[in-house]
Amino acid sequence: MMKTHISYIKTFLLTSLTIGFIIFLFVLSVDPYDKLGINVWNLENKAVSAGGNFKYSHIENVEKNEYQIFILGSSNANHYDPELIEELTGLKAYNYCVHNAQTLSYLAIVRHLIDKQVPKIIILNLDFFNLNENLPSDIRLIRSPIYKYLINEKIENKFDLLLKTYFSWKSFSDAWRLVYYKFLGKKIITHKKNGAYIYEFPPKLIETNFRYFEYEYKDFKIGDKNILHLEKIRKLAHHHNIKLIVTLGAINMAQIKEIKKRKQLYETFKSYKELSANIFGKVFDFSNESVAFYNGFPYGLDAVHPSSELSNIIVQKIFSSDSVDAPLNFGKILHSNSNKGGNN
Amino acid sequence: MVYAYSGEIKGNTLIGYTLFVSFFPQLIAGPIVHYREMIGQFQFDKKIDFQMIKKGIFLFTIGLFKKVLIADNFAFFANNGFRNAETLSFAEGWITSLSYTFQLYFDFSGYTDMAIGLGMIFNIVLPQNFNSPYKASNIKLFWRSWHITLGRFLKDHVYIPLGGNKFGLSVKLRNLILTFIIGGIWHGAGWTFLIWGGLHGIALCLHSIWEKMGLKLNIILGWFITFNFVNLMWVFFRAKDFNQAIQVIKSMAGFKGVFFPDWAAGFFSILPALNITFGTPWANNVGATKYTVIWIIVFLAFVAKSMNSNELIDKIDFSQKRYAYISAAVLVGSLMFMNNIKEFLYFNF
Repeated sequence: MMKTHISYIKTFLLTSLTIGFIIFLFVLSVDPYDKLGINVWNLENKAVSAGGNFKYSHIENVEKNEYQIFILGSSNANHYDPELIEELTGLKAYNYCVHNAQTLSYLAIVRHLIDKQVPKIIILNLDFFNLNENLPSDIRLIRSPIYKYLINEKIENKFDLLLKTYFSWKSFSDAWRLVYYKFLGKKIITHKKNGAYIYEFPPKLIETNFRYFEYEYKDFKIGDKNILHLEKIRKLAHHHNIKLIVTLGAINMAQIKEIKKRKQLYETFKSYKELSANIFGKVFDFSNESVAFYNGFPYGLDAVHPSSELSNIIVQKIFSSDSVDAPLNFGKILHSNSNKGGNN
Repeated sequence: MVYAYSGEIKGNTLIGYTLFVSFFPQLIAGPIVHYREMIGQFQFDKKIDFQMIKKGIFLFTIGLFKKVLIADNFAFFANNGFRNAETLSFAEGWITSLSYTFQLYFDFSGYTDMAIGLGMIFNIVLPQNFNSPYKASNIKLFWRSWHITLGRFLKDHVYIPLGGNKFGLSVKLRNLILTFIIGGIWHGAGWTFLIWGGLHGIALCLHSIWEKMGLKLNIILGWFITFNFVNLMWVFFRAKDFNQAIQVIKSMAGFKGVFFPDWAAGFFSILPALNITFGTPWANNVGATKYTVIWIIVFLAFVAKSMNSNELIDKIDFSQKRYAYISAAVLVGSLMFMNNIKEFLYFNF
């Protein structure tokens, strides 16, 4: 009887360890986020998350100086079209926007670019939301290969990283998906070669989207660490002779109204613009009330994501302002206080 | 201390008392144990009981599964809903409250299963704390099966010292209300907890009067009323203030407009005539999809019909090794989900 009991407990322990070990080993062998450089399954790409890793691998493997302009931002700048920029400037452009990117992501990407490409121009599209100090660290950034450019940065959640990253259902399902797709001969294509996002069409009706980010407004505070990241980006650009064009990404009128309803938040919104202008000297403001002109179809994907149509207007406004038929204040240039005095 | 003062327990030792107050499995969130039911189990010549270890392992893994795979997933919708309480629609209000109802149960009973399971591994029997409370067909049965050890604690230390039911119906009703108000405040010093406790006390009073009058109620109707009452009361329990609770309840009552998703239009073709609209998106505030609704229905059926974990371990024949494999798979699966784990809810109370 005693033997049966002990055998049961041994079976439990050994089975737990075996299942856990096999899963962990499988995920390590796929290395879905390309953290360890392991590629037992001979996968062509490991683009399992929303663009970041795909773009990283792409830039990692193209010839030096292939692109002269890079667009950096969150999904807000997904539809800034590199081909249009090329048409307007004669310089080859790449859209390096990553969903939910935060200022820390931009810093890592700038360092990656300097390491691999050293562009002539960087368009940095900022989001109000992403400067919130209460946003948790983006676990995908920590999982991604560009994490290696943040070695000396202060980042939460470093602890237990490998175990947390690769002993999880998410990494297991991503690893499984990659291997399964390889056997099916399928490729996951979400972006064009120049980094432009392929999908998404503007909906005819955006009815309740003003609510999308409402909960993120609570306890909103611009983080010192975020400001520090932006300052580091400016210094890096200056040091490597890169022209930095900074834009404050477009949000729709309903969203601006939501912000204005909350006094404290509105003050923070204004100081976000002022701070950005102070850090970078001048910024293009696409998040002011002139956006009311572009309310509704086909200019918005939702409250905080301009469609291709509006993104094209933004790009034209940046590079050839005079030829664009847009409200005067749309893309208004805000200068730093030390320069020409702040505007909002 | 109360038991030592009243002389109910004798022969205390420092080691025994220290072990009692530091016995880690139930230390943080219960079950709330009596000194006298624990101290006898802390013997130095205690034998290893393999049958208990097997049951303990199984119960622990079930508890972990409930916490990380069920409660934490419902937490997503509940947290979003309460965060956006002011703008919830009818469907969103119900998704919010039901999600919290399931989150709290699976979170707390999951923790209790883990605590009892760990106790069993050390051959220590901790008292049962849940006995399928959402199956209850009246509020008295609910309180006999929800956080049983808290109910016992309040009965022994508040209700009976106040006089219990010895001095007639009106004193009993007063004692019930006072006991539950204190029970509410025990969870936190806020008006919402006081309201939650007070309303539960009133419900128990109404039930006592109902029983005294010898009235009967259909068991399914009784379950429906009890479950919905409990669900509604959890809104007060979870809300950060009275206003937030009222906002959620208003949306559940349809005061903020009734709006259903497109895919539901076929099921309720009569509704447009009642000024109920359909469209997309329909649950932005809570981040729900139609699968959320399906899961809520599945778990509603589950909590109303299925065996609970204590019944399960009594029924299982642990001589069969397949339960060792099941426990192992559940443990590994749950650990893999712990990547984004939240803290146990009852740690707060």
